Amino acid sequence: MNPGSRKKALRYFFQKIIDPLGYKFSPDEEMVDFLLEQEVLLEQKHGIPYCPCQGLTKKREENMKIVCPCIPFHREHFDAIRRCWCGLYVHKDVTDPDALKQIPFNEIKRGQDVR
Amino acid sequence: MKVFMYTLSTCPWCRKTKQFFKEKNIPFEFVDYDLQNEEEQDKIMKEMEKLSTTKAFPFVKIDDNVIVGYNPDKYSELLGEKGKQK
Amino acid sequence: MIGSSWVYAIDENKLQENINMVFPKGLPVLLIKKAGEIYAISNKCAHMACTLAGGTLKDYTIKCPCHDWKFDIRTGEFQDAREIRIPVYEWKLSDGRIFIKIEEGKK
Repeated sequence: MNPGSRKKALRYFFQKIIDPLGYKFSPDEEMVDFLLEQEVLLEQKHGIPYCPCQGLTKKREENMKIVCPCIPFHREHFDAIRRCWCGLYVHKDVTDPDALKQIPFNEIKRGQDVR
Repeated sequence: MKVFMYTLSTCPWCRKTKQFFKEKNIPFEFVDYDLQNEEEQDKIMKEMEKLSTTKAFPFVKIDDNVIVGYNPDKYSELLGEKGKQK
Repeated sequence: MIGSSWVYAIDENKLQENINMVFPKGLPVLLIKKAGEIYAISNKCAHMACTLAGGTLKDYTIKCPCHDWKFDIRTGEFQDAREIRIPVYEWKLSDGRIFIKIEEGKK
């Protein structure tokens, strides 16, 4: 399958997951295209579209938590920074994704909103 | 001042991080985690998790300070005068 | 037109304990027989449409073989985010035959 059509397929699958969670694809189309391309390449390599910005380990249980869209497994973190770690998805109300910071989970206090 | 980072070859924020230091002419070393063998990855992940409980990249060390994520404000702050150069 | 109809799926005496794959009107459905009860859910994972029948069933949770997404066979809910669910179907037994209620115009 060529990467272009696989990117489209991933978009179709993932849209259905992120929508009920309150997220959308980032309005930064260039970033979205780049990230989906990386996921297609990761899928070709591992058989699974992993997050391009998190590291794989030998443990399947841990790796399954970074299969895109990984929002369900990092909800508290991503809800606080209003984007997913790699920035493919943002909260539905976000119009300027560049204004969002990439803050790791251990630096977020519970219940904190970093707007 | 020593700048070192663990990055992923697939991660755009890792690219932006490298770009940040290049633009300021600050020399740095990096290791692309995803291009290492399993044994090396194990070692790196253990180090990262010890210092910051995360599997997220980029992972930047400026001397002994660890910054996870693309965070130009923090990099600049830690670089002091050097970070202000354009 | 939107409506619903009862579609034959399988004879009750052919049902095996745990996972059964059926295709009423071509729709991939899982009939799960467990402790004397029957549950009918979609056979497609909500994530990337993998076939759930190849997964594992533990208590009331079915785990997708592709990426380990877990769903409650009673409600169709995804264990890690309840906003996401796979379709759950009504079923009925009539003269030893199991029928599944299928909504037309929506899958």
